Amino acid sequence: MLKNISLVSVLVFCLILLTSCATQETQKNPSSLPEEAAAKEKDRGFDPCLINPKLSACKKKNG
Amino acid sequence: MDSVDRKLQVAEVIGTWTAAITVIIGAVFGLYEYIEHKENLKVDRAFEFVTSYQSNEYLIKARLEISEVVEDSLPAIYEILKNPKLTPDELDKAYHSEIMKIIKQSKLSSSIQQVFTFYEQVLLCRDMALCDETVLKNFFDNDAGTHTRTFFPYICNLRKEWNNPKVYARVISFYIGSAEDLCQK
Repeated sequence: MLKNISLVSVLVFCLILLTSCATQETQKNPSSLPEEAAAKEKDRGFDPCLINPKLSACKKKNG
Repeated sequence: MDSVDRKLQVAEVIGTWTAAITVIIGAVFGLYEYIEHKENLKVDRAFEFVTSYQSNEYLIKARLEISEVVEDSLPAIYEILKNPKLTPDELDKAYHSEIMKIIKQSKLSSSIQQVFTFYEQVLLCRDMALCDETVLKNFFDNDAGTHTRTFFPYICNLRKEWNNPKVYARVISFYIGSAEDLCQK
């Protein structure tokens, strides 16, 4: 009886381990996407604070 | 006979401990998987916002309109921002009236409202910890930050018109800071 429980537990453990590895593998691809897109996005946009940081909106951000 | 009994006892103890440890490790892995699943859900929700931002035709139209108007108005805005004679108060007033003039002339208010309403929803998801922070930060902080700092006079104006000091409060407080005294200028 005890042997069976041990065997089933080990099998469940192995199954969880395999599922975990498979999930990690599928997550590798989408994770690189935001960084690449973010690098492109960062170059865009007019920001008045870059021209004159004395504007009250810029002081609030810094302070 | 005693020796056999003892061996059986030892085997039973070892078996029990092995089973217990395996179950504990399994439970830890189960918990880890559950946390991972929750994180994945957050990433998925954040990407739904990204997809909407990059493919919703109304949002794209609004963003394009804003970009075009800002680009066309840059010489006038630069003239104010680069004027060294203006004191900080004068600078704020001049910038405020210039931005309002540009918005009225270009009929940009509905586009700005549409974009800011979207940013509010993004920040709500972020505040409630329902969306992935890194994805939202990388995709929206640049656009939302620059738009908020550029068009804050319009938001202040809306607050006065609607007599509601909470208009776009989430966006203003996240990207600029305390908004109350900012709009009182």
